[in-house]
Amino acid sequence: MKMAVGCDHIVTEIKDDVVKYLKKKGIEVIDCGTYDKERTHYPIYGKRVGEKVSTGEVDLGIVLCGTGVGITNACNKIKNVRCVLTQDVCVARYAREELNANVLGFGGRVSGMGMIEDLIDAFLKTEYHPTPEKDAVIEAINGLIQHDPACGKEDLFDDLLEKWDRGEYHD
Amino acid sequence: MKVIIGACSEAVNLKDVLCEWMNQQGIEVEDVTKESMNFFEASEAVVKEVLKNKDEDRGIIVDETGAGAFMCASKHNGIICAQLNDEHSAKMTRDHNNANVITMGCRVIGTGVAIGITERFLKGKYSAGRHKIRIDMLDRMGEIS
Repeated sequence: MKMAVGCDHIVTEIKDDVVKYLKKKGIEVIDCGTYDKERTHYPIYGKRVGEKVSTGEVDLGIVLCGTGVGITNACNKIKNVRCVLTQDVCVARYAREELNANVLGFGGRVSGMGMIEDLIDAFLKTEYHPTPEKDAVIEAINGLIQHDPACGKEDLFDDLLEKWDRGEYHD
Repeated sequence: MKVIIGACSEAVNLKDVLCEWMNQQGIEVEDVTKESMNFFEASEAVVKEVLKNKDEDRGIIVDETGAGAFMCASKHNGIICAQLNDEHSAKMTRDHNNANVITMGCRVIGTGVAIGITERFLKGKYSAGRHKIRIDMLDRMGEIS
């Protein structure tokens, strides 16, 4: 099993704990960052994890930011990513069983580490059991993005980051 | 601001509770639910209406867990969707993410929390500023797809 993990600067330490937890289970982990607490932007890391899942470089992904909303949206904007955002074991299980979810998302400022470990366990233990009906729904979800040139385009955000560096995004 | 709401057949009861609460608050609601919808159909119906005026209007999709509708809605260019079952995230996602659609699961959430989430989602203001670059990035991912 190979997994990709990504986060923003708000929850880096929790991501580091998640990586340790996965490695202890014998899972090979690609840590997509961020790696420190310097202010950065969740779509960069959601996109990285989503791309690795979409291309099959990893089997599954995990993403987290403050609430999980931002980074999971970035992930789902990549074709064939089916990311769930949850704080409940029953939903993590449902997402695997019914929707063959391939990324688990949660909020590092919403769920505690005990719950996070429980969510990861449920997500990893639950298998997708295909039926024609479920496969059709999944095909329909995947079909919502027909063509995805954003996937793998590394300079996609360059002009926006330049604007940021020029101080054009200020509170 | 108008709220577009839709539910799969399993979640009609929770959707009706939310509609009743919004009506009491004087919020304009358009219910796009049709008989025997699944989460995909409910989600598509809501998203289609929200995208007509995505910066003003808001969408609420209720299904069994919130997960299916979340996967569908967040795929769309111009939609930022939050799968929610706590009020804190409802507040934060308006403030930081400018979310225009939320999903909730009728098997996961009680009516008190669901109303609390709805209230915060509808009253919450987006602070833009430094958060805007992230929204521009999400839009960019959708735009070129």
